[in-house]
Amino acid sequence: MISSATFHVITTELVVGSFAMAGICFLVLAIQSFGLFESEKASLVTDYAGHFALGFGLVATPFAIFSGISSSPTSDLSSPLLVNKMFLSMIATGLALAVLFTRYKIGNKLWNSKPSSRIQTAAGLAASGFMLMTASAGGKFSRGESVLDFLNLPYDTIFLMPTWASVIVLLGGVVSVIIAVMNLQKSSAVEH
Amino acid sequence: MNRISIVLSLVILLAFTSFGGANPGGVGDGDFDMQCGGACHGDASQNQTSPALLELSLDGDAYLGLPVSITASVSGIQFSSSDAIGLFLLTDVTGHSDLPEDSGWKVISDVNGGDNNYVEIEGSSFNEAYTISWTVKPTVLESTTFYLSIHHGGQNTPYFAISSGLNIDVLPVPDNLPRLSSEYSPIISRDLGQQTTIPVSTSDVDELAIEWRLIDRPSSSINATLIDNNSWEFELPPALQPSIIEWRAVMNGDGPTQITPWFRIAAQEPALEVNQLQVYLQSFAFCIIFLTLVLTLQSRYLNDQEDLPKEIDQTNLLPKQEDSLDSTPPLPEGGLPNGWTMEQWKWYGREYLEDLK
Repeated sequence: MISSATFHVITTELVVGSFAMAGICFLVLAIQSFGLFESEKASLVTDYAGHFALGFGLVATPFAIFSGISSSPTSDLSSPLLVNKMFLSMIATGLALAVLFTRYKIGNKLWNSKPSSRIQTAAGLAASGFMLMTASAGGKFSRGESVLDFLNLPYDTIFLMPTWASVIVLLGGVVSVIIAVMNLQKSSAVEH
Repeated sequence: MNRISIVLSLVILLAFTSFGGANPGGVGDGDFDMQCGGACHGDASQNQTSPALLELSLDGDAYLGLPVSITASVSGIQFSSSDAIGLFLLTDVTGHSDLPEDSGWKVISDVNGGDNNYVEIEGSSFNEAYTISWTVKPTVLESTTFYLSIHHGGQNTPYFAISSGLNIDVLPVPDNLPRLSSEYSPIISRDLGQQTTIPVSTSDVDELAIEWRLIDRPSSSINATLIDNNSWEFELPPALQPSIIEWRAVMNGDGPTQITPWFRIAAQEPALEVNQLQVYLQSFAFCIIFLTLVLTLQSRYLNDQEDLPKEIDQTNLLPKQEDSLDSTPPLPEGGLPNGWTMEQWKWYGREYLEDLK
């Protein structure tokens, strides 16, 4: 058996590596969506590689979150920095889920529309960015320093909503997701 | 050309990276084997031998179940700049099962106010020697050999060294020896601003005095209050900022007077008290918000383009017309006119038929 701290190191390396890879691919796709660079081959490769890497990172994310919580000093969220890590990783998870679901539903036709391709690449880049910020916060927590120290991010401050507000947002979000998914399915049916 | 420029870019990026295998920020205190499982220094095979002189010494005798201090002296480190020094208290040099716990010793406190066998201290090119100590407690009546190991950096190189062994014989507790009870474990941390009452459990002690001090400050002496048979307590003043207080007990009884090692208690920011359910709910709420945001935007822009297929259908008519123009006209009765090829008929046959009409 290995300790949860060691398991956390393994899973975070998988997550960060995958999201970093996805980030590079979405950056190339974003550049192409603005017409600054065009290559059919690069487009094809970064499309598949980016989404695959994002999907792989997403699979490893829950393991990283749970092993991270259990390996913290009190095995719970006992520090503002850990709470912020939780928020950042879940935001990245939401963005990554949306990117993958859109790609799955719309398929290659996603890239035929400029606004859609730009939203897709922006969301992919944001997912990678939030996950890298999560990793940076982890470095700050365990070693007291991180690569993003120059940004002076307020890791010690947390924005915590009342429980009832979170429940309302959560329920409203679930309803909105259902509506958005139905609309997307309609769109994909029309496109096909 | 593109491939060459990509390879060149990668080479330039790699050239800007540091080739050092050290981990300049350290990994934080913890219970680690000799090489931290490869975590303290990225790759143990890159380690150079440190010129540091390492020495371990035992402060007093080690009695079964009683705390005792092991002091580590480090000197002769050559730094290129300020850096962290990682120090390990080990009981083996094989790299596994080498924690004090593996040999029946419990680490009660370390120099940083924790209870770890690996500690990191700030190093400096201006300092020549460092002295730190661990308070440990033997739980088995056996001899144990302790080692001090060091990890540090310098000139982009990870350095490693290990001391010669310090053999410690654990002695049985003599009769009537004034001592802390074998189950006693001191408090090692407290919150800022908290007046702290420290309980002390003893055996064969008639009078208990406490000396306490801030690090590198003169000590003060207070008498502990007897609460119950062999149970004492004393109070430490609250700390207004993160700091470490050292204290030790002077125990008088029928046997010879005994002084415990210095115990350390660290004052730190109080742990965050937050409703875990509230945090998890908000995390999922954030996840859903961003999921909804992207899906809604995508569905909106894709729905805006629902008319596009119709336009495409209309434009598709044009190629069909072109196809019909390009298609080969029907051959006249009797087949191809004399001297015509099929290719010519395809392009000019329509005009020929028009002329016939």
